Amino acid sequence: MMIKKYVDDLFHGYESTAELEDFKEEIIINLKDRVQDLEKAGKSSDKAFAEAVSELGDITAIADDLSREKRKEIIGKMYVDPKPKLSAGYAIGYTLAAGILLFGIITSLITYFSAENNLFIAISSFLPFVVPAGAALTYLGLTTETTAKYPMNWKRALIYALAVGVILFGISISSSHYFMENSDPAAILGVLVPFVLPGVLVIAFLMLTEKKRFKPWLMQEHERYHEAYAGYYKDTEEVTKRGMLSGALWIGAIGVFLLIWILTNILYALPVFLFAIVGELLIEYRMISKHKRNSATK
Amino acid sequence: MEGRISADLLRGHTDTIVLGILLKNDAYGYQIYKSIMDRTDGLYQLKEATLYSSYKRLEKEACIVAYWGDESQGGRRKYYRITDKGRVQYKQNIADWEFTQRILNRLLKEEDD
Repeated sequence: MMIKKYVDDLFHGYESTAELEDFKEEIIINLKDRVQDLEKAGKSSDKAFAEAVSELGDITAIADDLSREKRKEIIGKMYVDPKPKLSAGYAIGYTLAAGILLFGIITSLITYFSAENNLFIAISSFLPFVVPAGAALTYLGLTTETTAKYPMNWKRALIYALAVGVILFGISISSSHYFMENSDPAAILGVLVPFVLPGVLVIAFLMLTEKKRFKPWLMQEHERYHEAYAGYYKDTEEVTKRGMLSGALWIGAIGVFLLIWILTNILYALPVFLFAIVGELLIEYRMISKHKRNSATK
Repeated sequence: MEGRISADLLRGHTDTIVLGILLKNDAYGYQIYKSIMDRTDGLYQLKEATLYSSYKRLEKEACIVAYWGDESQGGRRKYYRITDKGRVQYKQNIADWEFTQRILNRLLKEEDD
C-alpha cells in the first residue's frame, strides 16, 4: 500500500474532514490507475510510482482549502499547550519571596506587641522585608509564562520590579512616619512623594508602552469578542488606551499638586487640577476626532 | 521556428478543457487526465493537482457534479458529470476564447500586415 501511505503522509498535518477523506480516496484511486497503466507500458513498479507521483503536482493548495477551518483550530490549540511548567529557579524564587513577606509580617507583629503597640517601629521593621519581597514577586510574576501570556522581557520586568520596590519603600517609610509621635503631615508627604511619584510615573509609562504578550489563541478569542461586540464598543483597545492616558494624567496631577503644596502653599497647588481637567478634555477631544476619522475612512 | 506551449495560457483554460471532456460522457479523474494527455500527445503535461483544483472550482460553481461509482473491483472511483449550467458555461467560454483569439491575432500579428 505504497500509494495510500504516500497520500496519507502528504496530508499528515491536516485535520481529517469528510471532504479531505473524500479527496484522499479520489487521489489514491487515480494514482493507482496511473501506476497500473505505467506498469502495463513496461515500467518497473518503483519507476511507475515515482512517475505517477511526480505528475500529481502540488496538491496542498487544495487540501488547504478543504481543511482550512479545521487547521486554524488545530494551530490555535497547539499554542494552548498544557499549562507551562514552572522552572525550579522560579519555584524557589516564589517560595523565597513569599517566605520573606511572611517572615516580615510575623516580625513586625512581634515588634508591634513587644514594643508596646508602637506602629512606627512595627512598620519600620516590616520595611526591609516588604520591599525586596514585593519587588521580587513583581519580577517573578511578570516573567512567568502562563497559559494566557508569554513572559515579559526580563529587563522590562526588572524596571517594573524596581519601581514597585521604590513605591513600597516610599509607602512604608511615610506610613511609619505617620505613626511617629509629633509627625508633620508635610514631612510625611515629603517622604512619600519623591518615592511614589517617580515609581508610579515609571509604571504608567511602561504600561502605556506595553506590548501584548497574549498567546495566539487568546488573541483569537479577543478577535471573536471584538467581532461579537463590534456594535457596542467600537474599539475596546482605544478605550483602554484612553483610560490609561487619563489615569497617568491624574496621577501626575496629584503628584504635582502635593509637591507644590509641600513646597509652597495649597492655594498655589490647586490650579494644577484645572490644568488636569483641561488635559482630560483634550484627551477626550482627541479620541472623538480620531474616532470620527476612523469611521470616516471605513 | 517551432512553437512551445504557454503553460500559463493553457492553465487558464483548464476548466473549459475539463467541461469539454465531460460533454460527451461522465468521467473520473484519471480518465480526464488520460484524455488530455492523449489529445496533446504528451506535448504538454498538465499536473493532476491543476485538474483537482479545477474540479473543486467547477463543483463550487455548480458546473459539474461529482458522484462515486460502484465499481466492484479495485476501489470505487469518483465520477464527474456536467450540468446544464456547465454546458452553458462551456459554450460561453468557447465564444469568449474565439473572440479573444481574434483580437489577439489582430494585436499580435499587426506588424506582419
